[in-house]
Amino acid sequence: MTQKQSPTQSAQTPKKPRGTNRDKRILWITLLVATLLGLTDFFYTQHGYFTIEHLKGFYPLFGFAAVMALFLIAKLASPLLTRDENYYAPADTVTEDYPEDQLGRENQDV
Amino acid sequence: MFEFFPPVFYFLGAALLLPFIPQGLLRGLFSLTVPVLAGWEIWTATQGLSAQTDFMGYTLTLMRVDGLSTFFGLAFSLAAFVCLIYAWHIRDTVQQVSTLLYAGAAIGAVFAGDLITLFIFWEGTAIASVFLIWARRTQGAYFTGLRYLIVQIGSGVILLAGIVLHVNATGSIAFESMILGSPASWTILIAFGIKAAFPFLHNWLEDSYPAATITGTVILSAFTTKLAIYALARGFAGTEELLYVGAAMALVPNLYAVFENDLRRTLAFALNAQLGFMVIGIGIGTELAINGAAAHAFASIFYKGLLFMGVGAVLYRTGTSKITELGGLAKSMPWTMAFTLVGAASISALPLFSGFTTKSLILTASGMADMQWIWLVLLFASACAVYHSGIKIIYFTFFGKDRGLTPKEAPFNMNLAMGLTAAICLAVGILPNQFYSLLPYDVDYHAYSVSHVITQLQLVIFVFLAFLLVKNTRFFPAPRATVSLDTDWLYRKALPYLLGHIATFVEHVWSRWKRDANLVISNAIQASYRTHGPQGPVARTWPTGSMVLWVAALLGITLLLTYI
Repeated sequence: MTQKQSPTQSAQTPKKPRGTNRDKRILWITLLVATLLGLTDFFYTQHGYFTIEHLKGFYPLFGFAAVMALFLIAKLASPLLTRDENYYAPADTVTEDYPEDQLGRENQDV
Repeated sequence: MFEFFPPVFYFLGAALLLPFIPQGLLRGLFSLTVPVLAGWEIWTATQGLSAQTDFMGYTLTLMRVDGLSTFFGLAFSLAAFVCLIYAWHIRDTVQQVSTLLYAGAAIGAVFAGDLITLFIFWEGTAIASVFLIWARRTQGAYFTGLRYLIVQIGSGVILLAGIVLHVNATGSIAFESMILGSPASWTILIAFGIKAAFPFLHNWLEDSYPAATITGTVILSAFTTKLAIYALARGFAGTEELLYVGAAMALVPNLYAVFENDLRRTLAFALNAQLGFMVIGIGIGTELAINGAAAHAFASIFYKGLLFMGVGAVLYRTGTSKITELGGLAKSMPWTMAFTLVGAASISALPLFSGFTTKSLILTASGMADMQWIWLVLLFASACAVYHSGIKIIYFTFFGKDRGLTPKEAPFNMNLAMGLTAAICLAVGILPNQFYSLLPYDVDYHAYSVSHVITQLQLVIFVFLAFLLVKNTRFFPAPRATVSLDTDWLYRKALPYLLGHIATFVEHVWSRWKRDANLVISNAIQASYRTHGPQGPVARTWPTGSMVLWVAALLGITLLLTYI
């Protein structure tokens, strides 16, 4: 269904980034690999020191939930814990340019 | 005098000679031979050797060769070697000399058999390393270096206080395992804790590492904190309090590592969280756990160094390390990306990479000690590390939004250093048994069990899946052009603000008081002048002659007194 819609979508919004299709492909592949890996729990004997380690799907769910929780907390906390870049200026290097004479700035020959 | 020549003297001697050697190939090769010589000597040293010397009535043990010190000594020599290759292009004598002194002091501290020697090298690392920050030669770097130096020297002074208390109580200067409880042991633990970036004592790390030069950050990331981990493993193995400290360290910095905009500061936060793993390992204190802490310190030196190198190479070519200014460099810097990916895979503990074989030692040790909540903390922190050091660094630098940057690939020496470091990460991951044989204790552990490989892959892939699902939604905490507020806010903003207000208040009160006091005094003078002055009512009865009479009386008394 999503594949059918995609040409019309890209026609409506021509400025959409080029990587969108690739992003989708990566997402589907990851989803596939993740599902397969998650299902392996049913096909081998799990070893571990704690009973929760023996639950089917513990590691996948834990990894997923842990990062979601991290994102949520970070999203909520970031307004509180971040400030404008020149908050500590000039006693800080955040807004300073890196000294040009210590860089090896070179571009590729196009 | 010495059964064994302390390798720190190679570094000190080389640092003295270095300025007299012409810049370029000769100087580069000269400094590279130093860690090779030191590493070779440590590698071939037999256990139990020592080098002692007398100093002010104490016998100092400059060298103590045992499993723990040898392992860290080797790690530091190897780290110094790859760092020097990474910094091959640097033509700044200050940085070259301070790199040698810093690495030498760290190795000296690791082999210190007594507390006085430890103190000397402990301060040595502080003083030598600050020049790697100041070498950036900007105003911001100057201030950051000052803050760094105050904290680091502070750690040394606290250590000295602890040593004095310790010597007073026990009469011994030997640096051995301590039991937490006495004022001396607490003081020494705090001194170690500052360099190990314990919670609330940690902010110097995130503040200063991103302010150093490109090569300086790589060098800084290798030594100071791992030296503290060594000192903790030596002095406080099995201390229960370290479990709680380590748990807090393994959790909180992850939060900052998510929304921080600067890649190098993100890595500094991630480094702090990885130190939490090691502190937990030391807190568990079993042989397996200490092995785990040491092994993870080794792995962390190299994968973290590799990530700092990769980001440093990007900064070197583009002039920025901010996520909001970077993206899409995969095509223009493919080698840098490949090496950084190895670092990212290592910290994510993917099978065949170093984190897989080292982090699991600590997790297994917590399992064997039946500490379920510690184990859950470690697992949670592992998942977080997969995101912020594995995915975030790679995605936002080499993929993500294309900013139209087309820098050239990193210079050859940088790529060579990254390649070597990547090879070390892979070697630790692929040949775990050979690596484990270097660890301080003999422990039978097999990293590559079916369960371990599958569960770790599951963890990583599901973290990646969560990232892919969320990254284009409003729920995703994408880094923005901001600075993160850490506990250093207390002394950089709150304290100056508070002191400023207190100063204004005191000044205000003082000036009011002074004015009032002046008023009272001048009123008193005026009042007495009004009554006793020439025009005052009291003065009305005074004839002019009375003054002449009093003068005559005074002269008479003087005359009398002269003759008595």
